[in-house]
Amino acid sequence: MLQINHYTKQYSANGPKAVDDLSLHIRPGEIYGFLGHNGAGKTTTIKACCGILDFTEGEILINGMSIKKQPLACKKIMAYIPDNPDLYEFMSGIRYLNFVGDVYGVPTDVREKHIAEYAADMGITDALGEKVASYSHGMKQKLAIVSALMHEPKLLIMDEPFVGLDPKAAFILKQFMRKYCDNGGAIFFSTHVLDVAEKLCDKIAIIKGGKLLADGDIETVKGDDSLEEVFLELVDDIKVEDEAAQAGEKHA
Amino acid sequence: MLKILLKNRFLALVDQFTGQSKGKKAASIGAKAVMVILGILVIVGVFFLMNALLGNMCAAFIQGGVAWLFFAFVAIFEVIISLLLTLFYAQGAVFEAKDNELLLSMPIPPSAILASRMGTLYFLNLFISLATLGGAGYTFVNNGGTLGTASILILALCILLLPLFCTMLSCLVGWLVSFITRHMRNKTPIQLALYLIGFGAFYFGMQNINEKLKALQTDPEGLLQAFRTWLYPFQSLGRAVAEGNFLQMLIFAACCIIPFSIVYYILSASFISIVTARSSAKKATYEATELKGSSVVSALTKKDLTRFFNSSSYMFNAGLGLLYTIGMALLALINGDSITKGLVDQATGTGDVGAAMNVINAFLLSLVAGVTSISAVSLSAEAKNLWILKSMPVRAKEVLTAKFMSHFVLAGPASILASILYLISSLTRGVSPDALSIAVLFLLPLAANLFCALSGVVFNLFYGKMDYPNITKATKSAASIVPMLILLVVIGLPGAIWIMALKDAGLSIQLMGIITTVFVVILDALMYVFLGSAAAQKRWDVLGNQ
Repeated sequence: MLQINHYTKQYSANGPKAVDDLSLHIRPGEIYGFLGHNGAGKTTTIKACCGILDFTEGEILINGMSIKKQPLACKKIMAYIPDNPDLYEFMSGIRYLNFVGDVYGVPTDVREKHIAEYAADMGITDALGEKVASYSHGMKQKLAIVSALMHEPKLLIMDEPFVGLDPKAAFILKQFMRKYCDNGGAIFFSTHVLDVAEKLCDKIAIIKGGKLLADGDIETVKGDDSLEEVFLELVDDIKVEDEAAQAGEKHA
Repeated sequence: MLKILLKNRFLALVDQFTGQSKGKKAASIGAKAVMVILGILVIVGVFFLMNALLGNMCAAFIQGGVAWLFFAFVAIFEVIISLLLTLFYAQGAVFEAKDNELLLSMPIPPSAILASRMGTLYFLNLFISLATLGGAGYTFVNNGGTLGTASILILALCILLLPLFCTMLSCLVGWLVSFITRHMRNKTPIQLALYLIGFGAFYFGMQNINEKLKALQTDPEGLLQAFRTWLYPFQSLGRAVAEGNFLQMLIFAACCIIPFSIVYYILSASFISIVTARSSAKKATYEATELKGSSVVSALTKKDLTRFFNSSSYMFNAGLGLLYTIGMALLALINGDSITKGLVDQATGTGDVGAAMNVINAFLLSLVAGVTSISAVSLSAEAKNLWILKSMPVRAKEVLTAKFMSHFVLAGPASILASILYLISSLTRGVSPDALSIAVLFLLPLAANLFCALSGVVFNLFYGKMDYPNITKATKSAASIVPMLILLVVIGLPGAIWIMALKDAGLSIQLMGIITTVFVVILDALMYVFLGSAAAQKRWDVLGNQ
């Protein structure tokens, strides 16, 4: 569903590579977690996958179509939820959802059904008549999620989707993600919450300084350790440092 | 602490004026130097302008033995200008600043936070004071007045003191606006009303000053009485400067410092409760209704119109041309075409007044079209929302078409209405226009409005900044002026060529109007085609990614 081949992004010609030769493959039915520190290149990659950000080298395919060559066809079958959902604050929630429905060409009866269902799940139905400006961060996040699901995308790309969600909404979102992928959808999302990634993801990729450190089935990547231990060892070299310290002590 | 806060506020102000923004490098020394030079040039420009405009009035006051009245009038003018320019800045930067709660969470006394915000406001008012009162001093000396050492010293002190009064007034009214709108669900109408009241008050004030000056010749006592009572502080300022009177200076200083101190004390004591107050407006529970679908362009256009009608600042700054367009035509209908008549005389001498009147009205309406700049900032207005459109399956052509449509659906009908009013105006005055001039009266302003809508989008697409923190900053940017200047050339140039060369060659004013209309329509068509081109799509694709 989403194929990233040798993706490289440089913001300026002589500048450093924000992401360097990244290749990933997300298949239908998979929840794919994208892990890394702040500034590792997660959001840059995600924005490129959504056609928001151009890239320097490589290829990104959505359902076999190039995001560079067929951006509109790609965008029609996917949805993006950013980490900080800056929505149209001058619109009411319902007007925003209707606007999204118009742009994606969702029939009115279908959008009414989806709005009723997803807004109720997220617990924002009562607030749909209010302007987005009056929403809290969490409510904006929930509205962004509802709007992303309006056109029944085949691929969901989410940047830190659990930030700002209350426990109930987070639980519902996790349930939804699983159900969505079980029905053939694919999800590619970044997160800092390793616990969520460990329990929810089928596959993960760990990125540091724009370079892929590890990827694959969650069980394969973490082995017998916890995801937290693996992540810290790969990204922060914590375990390696401990071993070196132990080796130093033995030597002494 | 106050020093750090003031420094931060000033740096933010400098960055704002030098075009630097969040995430980018702070303004370089060069940029700051350019800003200072520009500031000095503006002040010098105001000096010369005041001398040119108010020189005769000043000389008359000096000869009439009421030289102090000149300084008093300029001070009143400064207070009006200051209030108009800084009122909404005061509301936004003092009471509704986004970092108020962050600063309150730090070990900073609320009085210091307020002082730093009022300090920035004082600095802006000081600039206005330097230009106006300084300009008054220059005009005074240039028109036969003399300022001794004492007067110069007092003038310098007044330049420093009057901004205190203006700052106090802006803060007080800003607080009131903030207080009233906080308890409302829909703030936009009341804010727009306040904008318009402020704007109307400015025009009324200017008109009133004019009337008072006329009245000075017939009934000087009435005016002087006002200065002896409620306008007394301004009389003190005038007498202090013109006569080098230190006692009047002290009275004026007291009139500035005491109210400022009282307002500062009250606001600082209630600062926390003011800035942390939450809206008491009851939230309505949504009840599902039947949704109506639209095409992509229609949905995008409606979205842009909603943005426009939900921002009083956007409406006031970018939509004022609509008000001018209709207001101008209404005035012509009620009061007669005095402006046009003057232009007709100049353009045609004793020519065909009936035809010329409608063509000239068409040109006037076309020029006024430039004041409407809704589309010129519409892409910049997306700013932090740009990701929404970028992640959606929409082409650049659809987005850009919606941008110019949201301008034209407002400007077009306003233009037609104004043309109808002008036509009625000419008919009621016994002028029977021919078909050609009627066609020009309707088509040229429409084409000009379309030109403005399209050129605004094109300019914003290529040169618009995409990192404005809010819509107010975007609407006050230079981007909103450029299409107006281009329109001035496009509309003004054919007229000027006609007056200078083609009129004597026998080209009728109607034909000149038709040629200009066709010229503008061709430019409109070219720009429309461009918005659907690969070049526009390419530019849209990289917009906001720099």
